[in-house]
Amino acid sequence: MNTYQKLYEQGLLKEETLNRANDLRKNPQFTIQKELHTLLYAGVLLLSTGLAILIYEHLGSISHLLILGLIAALCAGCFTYTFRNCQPFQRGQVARQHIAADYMLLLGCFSLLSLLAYLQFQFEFFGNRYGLATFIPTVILFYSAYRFDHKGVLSMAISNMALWMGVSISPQVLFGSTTLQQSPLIWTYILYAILLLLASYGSIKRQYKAHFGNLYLHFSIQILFIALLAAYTTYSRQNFHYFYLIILIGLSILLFQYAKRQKSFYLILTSIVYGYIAASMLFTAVLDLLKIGNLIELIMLWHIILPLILIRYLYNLSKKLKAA
Amino acid sequence: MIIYEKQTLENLQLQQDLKAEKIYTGLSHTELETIEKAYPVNLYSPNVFVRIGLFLLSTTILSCTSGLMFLIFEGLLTEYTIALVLLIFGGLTYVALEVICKNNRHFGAGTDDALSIFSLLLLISGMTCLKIFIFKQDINTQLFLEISVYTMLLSLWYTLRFANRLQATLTYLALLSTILLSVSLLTKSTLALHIAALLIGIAAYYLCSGTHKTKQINSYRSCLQTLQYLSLISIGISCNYYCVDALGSEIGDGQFEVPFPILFWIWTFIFPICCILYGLKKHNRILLRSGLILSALAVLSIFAVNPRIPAENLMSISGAILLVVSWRMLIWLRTPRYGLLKKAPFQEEEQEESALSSVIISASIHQAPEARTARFGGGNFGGGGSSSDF
Repeated sequence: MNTYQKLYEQGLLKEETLNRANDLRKNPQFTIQKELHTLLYAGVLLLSTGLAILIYEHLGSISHLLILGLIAALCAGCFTYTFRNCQPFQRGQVARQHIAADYMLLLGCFSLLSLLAYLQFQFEFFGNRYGLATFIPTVILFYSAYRFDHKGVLSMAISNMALWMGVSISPQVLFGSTTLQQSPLIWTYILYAILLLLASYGSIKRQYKAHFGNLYLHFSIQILFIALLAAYTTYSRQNFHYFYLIILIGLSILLFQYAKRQKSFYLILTSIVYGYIAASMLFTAVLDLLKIGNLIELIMLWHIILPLILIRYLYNLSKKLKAA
Repeated sequence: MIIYEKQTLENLQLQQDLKAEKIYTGLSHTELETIEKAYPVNLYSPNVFVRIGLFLLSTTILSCTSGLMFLIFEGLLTEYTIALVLLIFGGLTYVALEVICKNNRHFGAGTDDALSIFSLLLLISGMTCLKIFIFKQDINTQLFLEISVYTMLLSLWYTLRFANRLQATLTYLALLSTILLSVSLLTKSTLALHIAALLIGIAAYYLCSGTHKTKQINSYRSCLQTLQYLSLISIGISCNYYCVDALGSEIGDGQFEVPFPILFWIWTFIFPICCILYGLKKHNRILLRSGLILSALAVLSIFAVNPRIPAENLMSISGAILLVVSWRMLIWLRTPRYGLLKKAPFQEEEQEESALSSVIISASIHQAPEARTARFGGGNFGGGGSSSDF
């Protein structure tokens, strides 16, 4: 007797589920949905990046108009295909019907960015109005993201808007580069994070593409928390720089409360990681103020006791949330 | 031998199977909840984000505890006692692992992962120090071979005791290193090393893929699946042209030419394709995914062997091929063929981790900004890897 039959006889399964399971035994099925998505995504990324570098490398040897024509044709083709195969606009999440259309839109957006960059680089299309050169693609990307309900394009739009404001929010810059630690940039990052936070709140509150809310929130908290940490180290010569850490700890607590309500383990993890880092930096700073900063044993004890408390709490919380 | 109750592991297996087939059977949330109540699992296996969090916190505690111990007993540490301290601390960590798995029933919870890796590392480091400082053994291939054997035996015990996939991976890698080091001590031929790796891979795959019907080792199914991936990838890599060339040049001080290069090139490209096709035919996801990984490695091999080939050409060509192939597949699968579907009949609920994939796209738009006094306007421009400052 197979598992489904046994479960059905125990009254744990509906008859229709059993029938579908029996059908599956007779005619085995195998979906390659995830693999196809991965291949399409890798294909779009490799092709757009490869072509962009190829064009850049051969700027002198290929006719500019020919290159422009090719990129424009690719871009137009992709957008036409997407428009023809997309679902009508909805305020909520749109059910996916056409896998290829999603990736054509992505390729279209990448080629649009390449096209505008090429126009500016070669023909100074926007002249000295650099803001316009990043603002126009940002508007088109936001429109495409909302019209076609595409989170990937929305994340491109968010990144492009940051470029318009003069900052970069790619992980390479946020987690690796030192360019963040420059006063004017830190404030731009903080302002942008607040804007994204408002966008997240607005999406959820007004139920207008509410599922975009989490993406806005993700970018917002990552940018805000990293900018606050950068502010603490950048303004270390000023007396009030501890406030950045206190604000960060406060925001982590607020985020943690929100994450608990939303049952979002990702947000719980984020709030714990940033809260822990900020609390540890503050603890070390307090030890320095008390002139006992060289007591490495005390710092190690802190890094034993605090994680122990957090583990205990996280363990109980995840059990509680799972049971709820 | 396994620390967890057999019944609970069987229930877990049942729940995992039902969840995996949910996209075909349309098993409802209510049905799944009823089944979970009837077949309870009393293990603590949290969500992936909690697992990462617990792993990071546990690693911090373990690192700081060992650091603190070394600071406290700093005066007593000599090259003779350090091995003993490492072994004692490794033993204590192992006891903690046993307690947390036995009493709190942590299974793939992050804490058990951190404890098992940490205790293995400490025990192996202790044994190495013992060999070098007390038994005055030279640092040579013989010593590496002995360390590989100890690692293999210890990680095998951890795998059997805790059914941990990470430890299963370590066991396989240590086995591979043990056999390859033994072969290298016996012969100078690099070809023998590749043949040995190939044979180990084939044997491991045969053993791991044939044992799923044996009920006694059903508890180790996730470990066996990991081993299947590893063995297939090692079969592919063992005769990959770049690997043969690189290893030969390393051992032969650059004076090496790959014998029968065509054969190795054929293997580099044909084996992944065979894996993909056979995986599709047999509805075997492990074969399919291993084939895809090996195909990516095959393309990278061309670039590694001949770095003069422009990367952009390779990227454009492989991107275009991928798009054409997946496009053709989508058209071919408009109506299901041979049981293959382009879309599952019932869709999975969107998980938090899957939503993060869109964030990766934003990483492809990047430019380091210039520090400016004006905060708005201007900036750099880039997209799809294109980049140009203006």
